[in-house]
Amino acid sequence: MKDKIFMIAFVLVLGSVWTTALVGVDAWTSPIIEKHTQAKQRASILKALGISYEEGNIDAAFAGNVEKSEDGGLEVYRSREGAIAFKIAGSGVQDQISGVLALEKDLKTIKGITIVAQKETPGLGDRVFEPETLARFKGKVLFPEFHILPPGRASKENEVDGVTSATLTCQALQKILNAEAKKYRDAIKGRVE
Amino acid sequence: MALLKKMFGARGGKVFKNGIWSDHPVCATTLGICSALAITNKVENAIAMSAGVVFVLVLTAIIISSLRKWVPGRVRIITYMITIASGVIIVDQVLKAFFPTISEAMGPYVGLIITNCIIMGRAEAFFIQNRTYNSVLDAIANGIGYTYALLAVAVVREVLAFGTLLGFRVMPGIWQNWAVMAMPAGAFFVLGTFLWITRTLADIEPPPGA
Repeated sequence: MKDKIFMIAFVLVLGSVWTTALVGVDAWTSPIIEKHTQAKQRASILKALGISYEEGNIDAAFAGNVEKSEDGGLEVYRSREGAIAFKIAGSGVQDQISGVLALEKDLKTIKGITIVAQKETPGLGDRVFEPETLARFKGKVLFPEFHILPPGRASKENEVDGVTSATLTCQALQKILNAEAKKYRDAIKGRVE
Repeated sequence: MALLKKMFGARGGKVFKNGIWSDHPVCATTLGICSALAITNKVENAIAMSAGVVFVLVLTAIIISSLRKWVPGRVRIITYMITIASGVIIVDQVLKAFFPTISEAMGPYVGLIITNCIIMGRAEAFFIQNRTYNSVLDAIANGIGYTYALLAVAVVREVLAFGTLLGFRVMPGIWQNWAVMAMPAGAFFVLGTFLWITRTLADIEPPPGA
């Protein structure tokens, strides 16, 4: 009997000690981790807006150039020239694709796209997210509807060349861009009018 | 051997030699095979994984061997699990907070240290029965053994699969990469050859019935 009580007490004490240690470590590290995540997010917003910044100087660059506001319940980031950026997310082929889309002042021309997280097929689908490919999107118009076409087919201002090996990822990205752009434009327009 | 005896005492020297050679965790007891196969495609991954395993192994050795007189026999496995899991979570959090780039590169591997059977295996086979000094020696020796096994496999695989070593190009330009070496199948070939060579050299008997 005594053995059993000791056994239960031992497990309880050991569990409590480790739990306390974990809570302590979490309380100590989570503010720092939170800061890293925030810096990463801010960096992706700055990059999409085309504002140059230095590593370690992200917060200052963000505070000096970007203003956060809520439009119709959605978070929007505005640069000094009136360009806007917002977070986008949607399902890709393998997993969720998330990132930041920046539009020019006219709310329909793409200023920049940064991808924060994606798990598309390495070497095939994820080639869409190479900087050279994403740079092609700059200056394209998202409205009335945006199309990512097979390479060499894009001719209008709302069309862009995709990547041969990444047809499905291109379709997914096209869907995300169209849906998110519409959602945010409606929200912003609703406030303006 | 004489040198090891001088450094760590008679018992300690034997413990150390067992860990790095005659009772090698990967070669002799075939523990830790999962990670030796999964993350040895690049040398830098192997180094990061080894560092994590060595840290958790030593931490477990200190805690389990100091508690060994009080741990009730029926809950000893739970004790190992709680200790190992908590240690790994702490490592993961600290890496995320202070070394975010390393943490990102290692991705899910840090969490997988929990399931590395070397740690459980040594806790059950050694730490629970021996005093702290010898347990820590055993942990370090096993850690070294695990590290060089991983490095040996990773060096062969990275050179053959990518033509690089730690990211630097070492093979001539005409070198054709062996795609199979980057895949799990390649790991089996290399690890199998490694086990064959070391087992023959260390004169390790196959388990009965094999």
